[in-house]
Amino acid sequence: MSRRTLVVTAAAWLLLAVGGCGEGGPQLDALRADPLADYRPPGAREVETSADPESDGGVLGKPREARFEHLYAVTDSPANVFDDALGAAKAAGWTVERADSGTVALLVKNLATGRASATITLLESPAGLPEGVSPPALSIVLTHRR
Amino acid sequence: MSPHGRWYFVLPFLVSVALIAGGSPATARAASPLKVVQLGDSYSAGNGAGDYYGPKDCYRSTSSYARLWVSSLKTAHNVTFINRACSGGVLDNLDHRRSMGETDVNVYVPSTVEKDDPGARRQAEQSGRCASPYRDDESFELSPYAAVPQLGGTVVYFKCKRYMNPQWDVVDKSADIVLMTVGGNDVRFADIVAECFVVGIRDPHECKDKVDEANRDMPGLAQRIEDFLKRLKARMRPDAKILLLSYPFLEKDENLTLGTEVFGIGTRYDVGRQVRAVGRAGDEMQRGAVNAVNAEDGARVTFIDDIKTLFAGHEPDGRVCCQNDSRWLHEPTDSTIRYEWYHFNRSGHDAIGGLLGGFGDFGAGHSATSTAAGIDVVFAIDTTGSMGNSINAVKQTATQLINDVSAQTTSARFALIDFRDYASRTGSPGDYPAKLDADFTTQGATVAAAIQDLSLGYGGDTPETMFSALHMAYGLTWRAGVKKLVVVLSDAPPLSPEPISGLTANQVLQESLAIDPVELHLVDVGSATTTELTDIAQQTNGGVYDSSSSGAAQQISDAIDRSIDQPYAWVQGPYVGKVGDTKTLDGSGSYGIGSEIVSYEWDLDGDGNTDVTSATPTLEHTFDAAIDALVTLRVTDGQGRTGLATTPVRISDDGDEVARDVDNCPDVANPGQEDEDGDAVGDVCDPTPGFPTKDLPGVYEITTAAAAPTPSPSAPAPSAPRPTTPKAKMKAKANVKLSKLRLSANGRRLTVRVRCTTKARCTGRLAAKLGRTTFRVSYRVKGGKTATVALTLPRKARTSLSRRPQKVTVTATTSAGARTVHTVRLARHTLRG
Repeated sequence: MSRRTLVVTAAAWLLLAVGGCGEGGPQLDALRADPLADYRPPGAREVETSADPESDGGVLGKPREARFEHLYAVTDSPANVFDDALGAAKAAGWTVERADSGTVALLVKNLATGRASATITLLESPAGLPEGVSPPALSIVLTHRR
Repeated sequence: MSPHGRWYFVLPFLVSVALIAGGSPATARAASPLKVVQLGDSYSAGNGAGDYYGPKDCYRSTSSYARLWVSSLKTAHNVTFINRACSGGVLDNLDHRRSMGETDVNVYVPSTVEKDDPGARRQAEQSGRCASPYRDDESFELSPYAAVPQLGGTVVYFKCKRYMNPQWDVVDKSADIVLMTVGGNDVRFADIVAECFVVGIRDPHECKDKVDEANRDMPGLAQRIEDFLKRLKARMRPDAKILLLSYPFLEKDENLTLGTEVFGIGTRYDVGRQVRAVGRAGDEMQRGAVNAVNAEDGARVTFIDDIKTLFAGHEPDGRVCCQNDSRWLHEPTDSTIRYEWYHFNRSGHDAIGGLLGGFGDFGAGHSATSTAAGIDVVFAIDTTGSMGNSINAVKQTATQLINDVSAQTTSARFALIDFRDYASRTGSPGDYPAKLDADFTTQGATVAAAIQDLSLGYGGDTPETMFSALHMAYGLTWRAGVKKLVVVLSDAPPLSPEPISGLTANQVLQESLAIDPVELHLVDVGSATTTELTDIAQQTNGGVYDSSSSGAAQQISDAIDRSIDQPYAWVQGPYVGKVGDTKTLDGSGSYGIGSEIVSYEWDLDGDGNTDVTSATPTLEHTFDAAIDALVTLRVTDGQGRTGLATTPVRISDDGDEVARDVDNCPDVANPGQEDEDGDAVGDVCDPTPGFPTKDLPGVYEITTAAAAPTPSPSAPAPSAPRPTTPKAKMKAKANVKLSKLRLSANGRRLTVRVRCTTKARCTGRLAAKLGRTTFRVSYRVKGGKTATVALTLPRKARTSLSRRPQKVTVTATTSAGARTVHTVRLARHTLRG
C-alpha cells in the first residue's frame, strides 16, 4: 500500500468517525445503527432519506424527537413490498403493535438509548410524495421517543 | 358535532364567566363532583395565554380555554381541574414519561467519600436543585458520576434527569371528562410553522418537505391515536367523556405563496393552500380515529371539529408587511416568547372556552354518595420481631379490607411498605430501614398477597425506622385529585431524628403536606405514639388510634373508612405570580360526603396557622411579599369532619418561577428563559433579541388579492400585541459557514464542515441537492465551534455519481434565519482527507 493510499485511507476513516459524531445526537445515531435503517426493500426504488436529530428546542422552542426516514417508490407488488418490509422489521427485533390494515404497521423496540417506534406506511395517494414520484410509495419512519 | 361555527355560545359564556368572577358560587346545593383532566400539547397547556405556572417548559396557563370553560361549570359542579398538558407534548407522552433533559448538581462533603456516599446523595436531594414542588407531575433521577477530592473534602457530582410523568397517570375511574389536543407535534407542527411562515426562516423547499413529511406520517398517527383513545377509554368509567379538539388553520390567506430563486432557478410553493390541506387532513385523520373508537360501544369520544370554523378570519397573517388585526393566534411580532408563536392568544382561548361552554358539562358528572375522588392508600407495617400477632391479624382480613375500600370508592390504589431498623444498628443482616413490597396498583389482590408474604425480622432496640418508611411512601407516585393515606401499623416509636438517613419529623411532615397532603394514620399496637407523630397526624388530617394486636385490622379499616367519609378538599392551584398580585384562591372543588361544607380555613403562608376563615369557597388575596410555600385549605362539614388540601404558591419579584440569581431577565416574567442570540439577556428584556426580520435571500412572497373571510362582529377583540421590536428593525444573522464538501465512506457519505460563527449554538438543516435528488440532515454545532456533518447519500445519488462528476449544492438553513449555500463538483473518486 502506497504512502498516499495510507494517508487517504486514514483520513477517510477519520472523516467517517468525525462525521458520525457530528451528524446528530445519540438518539439519531441509535436509529441509524438499527438494522431497519439499512433495509432496502426489493421491488422499490429509494427516493429520499431524511434524518433529524433530537433537539431540545427548535424555532418555536419545541423539543423534537430524533426521526429517520427512508422513502421508496414502489415498483413491484405493493402488498409484497409492504409485507417484506414488515418481515424485515420483525427480523430486526421490532415488535408489532398493530399491522391489521395492510397499509400501516406500527412497531416498537427498545434501543440502547431508549424506546423507539417504527411506522411502515404504504402510501397510496400522492399526498406527501415528492415531485416526480407516483404512488404507491413506501415510507419507513423510525422515531426515537424522549 | 356540527361543522358550523357556534358564535351564539360565545357571548353568553363570557357573561357567565364575568358573573362568576364577581362573586363566589353558592355553596347551598348538593355536592356534585366533576373531575376534568386536560391532557395533550401546548394548545391545551395554554401556550399564548400568559399567566404561566407549573413545570418548566410546559407553559400551562391559568387563563387557558379549559380554565375558562371549567369556571363556567362551577355553578353546577364542584370541579376538580387537573392540567397535565405540556408544551411540545406528543401522543407518546400521554401514556409514557417524557424526558425533559438533565442538569448537573454537585455537593461538597467535608470528608473523603465515594460518589455513592449516602450523605452526599441526601445533601443533593435536599438542595432542591433536583426537585420541584409539582410532586405528582414531575419526577427526577439523581445519579452520581464522579467524586473529586477538593479542599480537604470531596465534591460529588450528580446528573439530575427530569421527567414529566405519563400524563394519563391522573386519569382513572374518578375522572368525568378528559379533554385534549394532540397530534400536532407528532407531525412536527412547529417545523411546518417555522419553514412555511416564520419570516427569516421560511423556505418553500423546506416547507414542502415538512408538509410532505406530515402527510406521510398521518396514516400511522391515525392508528396510534385510535389505539390510545381505546386504552384511555378503558381506564375511565363507561359514563365518562373524552373530548378531542381539532386545531385552527395557521394562515389567514389560503393564497399565500412563497417563491425562491437559487442559481437562477425559481420555485413556487402555495404554502397557504398546502398547509391548510394538512390541517384538513389532520381533521379527517382524527375524525376517523374517533369514529373507529366510538364504533366499539357508542359515542364516548367527541371530536370538537369546529375550531377551524370558529377561527375563520382570525388566523395569523404570514406576510412580512402585515398583521391580522383580528388574530386569535399570536404572530411572531406579538411575543418574544417563541413558545407563544402560532398559539392561541387570550381572544383565542376565550373563543374556545365559549365554544365548550355551549356544551355545558357534556352530560358528565356523578353524585357524591361515596367519595368520588378515588383513594390512594399505602400500608406501612412494622415487621420487627414484636409485631407477630398484629401482622397475623391483618393477614387474616387483608383481602376483605382491601375489597371493602375498593367497593366504597370509584378508584382505589394500594401499596405496601414494611420497615424495621438498620441492620448496622441491630446486628441482624435481615433487617433494613424500609422496603417496598408492592408499588401502587389498582389490583388489590396483589397487595393482599404481599401482605400475606410479610415476614418478621429482628429490629433490635425499640425505636424503629418509621421515618424511612414514610419517606419511601412519599416518594411513590401519588395521584392528584384523590384522597391519600399512609396507614402505619407499629408498636414502637420512630427513631427521631433517624440516624444514617438524617430524617426528621418535620421533614416527613413537609413531604406529606407537599403531596396535597398524604394523611398519616397511625395504628398503635404498643407504644408507637409520640408527640411528633401526633402532630404530623393532626397537621395532615390523619389520626392516631390505640389498638390491641388482635384489633389492629379493624382499626386500620376504621381509619380508612373515617378518611373516606371526610370531606374531599381541593384547591384549584398552584398560584404563581409577582409580588402585589391578587389571586382568587379557589376551594370550590371541595365537597362534603353526606354533609355540606360549612367552613373554609386558609393557611396562606404554610406556617401551619389559619390566616382566614370563611363560609365561602373562594378568597381574594393579595400577596404583598415573595413566597415559595404551600397554601393549605381545611374544609369542615356540618358534622365537624374535616378535609385538607394544599397547593404550591410561588410569588416572586417578576412572576416567573426562576430563581432571581439565575434569571436572565429578573424583572420580567420569562419562565422559559429564551435567549435567541445567546447574549445572556433574556429575549423578553433584550432590545435586540436577534429574531430575523427579513426573508432569506432569494425567498419572496406571492400573494393575491383574494379577500380573507371577514371575522364575525361578535368575536372578542384580540389581545393587545406585546411591545416588541418591529419586524423591520430586527436584524437577521448568518451564523454558519460551510466548507470542505467531501465524499467519504467509499462514496456513501457526503460530509461538510459547518462552522458556527456566533456565541450561541447554531442549529438548522442542511439540504444537499444532487441532480434530482435532495437529501437532508439537521445539524447542531456549539457556538464558535466547527463540526463535520455527514449526509448519507441515497443509493440513487451514489449510482448517479459513479457515472459522472456532478454539481452538489448544500444549503444550510439556520434557526437564526440565515441561509448559506455551498456548491462543489464531486465525483465518486473525490475521496479526500
